Amino acid sequence: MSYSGVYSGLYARIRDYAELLDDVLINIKAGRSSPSDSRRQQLAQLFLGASVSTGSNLSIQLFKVFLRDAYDLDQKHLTEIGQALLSVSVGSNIVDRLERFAHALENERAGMLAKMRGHD
Amino acid sequence: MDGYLSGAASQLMERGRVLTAKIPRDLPRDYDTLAQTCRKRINIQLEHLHAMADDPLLRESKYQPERFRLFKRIVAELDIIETVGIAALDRANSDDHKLNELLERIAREIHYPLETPVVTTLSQQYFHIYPDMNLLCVPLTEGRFLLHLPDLYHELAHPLLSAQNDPIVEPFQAQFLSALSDALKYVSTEKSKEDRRRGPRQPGYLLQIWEIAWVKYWMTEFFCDLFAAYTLGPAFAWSHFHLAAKRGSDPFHVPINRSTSHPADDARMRAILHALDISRFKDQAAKVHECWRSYLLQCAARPEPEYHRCYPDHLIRTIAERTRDGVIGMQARICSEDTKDPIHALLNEAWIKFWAAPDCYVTWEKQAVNRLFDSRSPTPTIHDS
Repeated sequence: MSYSGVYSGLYARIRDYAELLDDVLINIKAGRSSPSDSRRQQLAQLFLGASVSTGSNLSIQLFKVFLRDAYDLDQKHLTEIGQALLSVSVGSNIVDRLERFAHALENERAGMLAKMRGHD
Repeated sequence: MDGYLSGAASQLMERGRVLTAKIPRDLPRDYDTLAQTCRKRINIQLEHLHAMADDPLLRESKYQPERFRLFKRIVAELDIIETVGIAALDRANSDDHKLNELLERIAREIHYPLETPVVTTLSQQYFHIYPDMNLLCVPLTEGRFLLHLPDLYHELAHPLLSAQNDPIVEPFQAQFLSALSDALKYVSTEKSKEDRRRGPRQPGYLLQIWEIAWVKYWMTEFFCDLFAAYTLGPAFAWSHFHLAAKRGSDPFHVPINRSTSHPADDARMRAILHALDISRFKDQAAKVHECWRSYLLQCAARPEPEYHRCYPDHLIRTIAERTRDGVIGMQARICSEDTKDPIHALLNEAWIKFWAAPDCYVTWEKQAVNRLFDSRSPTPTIHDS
């Protein structure tokens, strides 16, 4: 049985999602990204996987839970974001949503870090 | 903010270099993996810091939110490396060395398929593990006693679930995902029932909290408990009883407002007892069960109706069975009445001794621990004092 330790695995997941999201955002905003970029595809698959009701991939299940906790998006919006990331042009409305989610995920990361340190 | 971030980055680079210099060079080889992990992770953060400070793109105003989040992640990462990894290396002492040897022996006994974690006695919060550092933390004096050491087996299971691209542990992870799918289907079915019932709002909200808890925490905890129950046997059930009796709260707790990190103690015990039944430790499972029922009576604990809905028997049994299939699938050793491995035997014997003569146990334990850690033999046998 662990207390702070139970959060450390989750912390690593959130940190990885946050890094992925920021990497993709920077490249999209800089205009140096394409749908074939592996990181962008990885993020797209997370959003598309989270948009279906069931799934067998733990990473997607956790992403879905964090999305729901941090940023209340319905399945339709998740699909829109996922499909936009796989298309040539990512609209500014999608970038705005990704920015808001990145901010929410940062709060989730900081909160999980506090739990890891026993501050919760 | 550009000036602040550049200055802070320079200061953090220096901190990273100081941390690298703090890695001791004279520790036993058991610590090499942790030292390498710390060194590698510091270097990754130094690369991020250089990018943050020097990349002209990142210094443009429209990238400041991303740059600031990167900065916060770097600070957090260096904090973890310093307070967890480097601290464990810097303060490693003879107690740590002994526990590292013990964990290595346990790993060999149970055919643990990953690198054995490094142990440190720096924990301030009972047993816990940092899977991505492969560092297991135990309280300062816990290595001098035997009754809680079964929790080492629980902690060993966490990295099995977080390891990536390792076909050896994939059967265990596949069973975990199947069990999680079972749990989510169950919650989904309950939600559908609620929707049809058009009842009050709270039960639907409750189900959402449970769903989140299953995904984030509970299935992981059940799998780790059950891995320990299958590889160690009754001693783990007793250890769970011991922990609940000493530090537990409501054994039938059901989260109402927000998800909890651990399932209810009684649900965990039910899963562990089912695993002992499957492993044919029926007599010992019955003894643990009797003691557990007595404990529940003593603390006047009674389950609310929602408790059984939260942790239904059929789901607990399915999880226990799936964990067993996963342990078998990755070819770890499942223990039985015939298992004679020395550490396994000692930890189970400790509980037998404890119940046979609780008042005399401390004397026996002292001698057993001395022989365990003082022995130069890699496989000491511990018998009656």
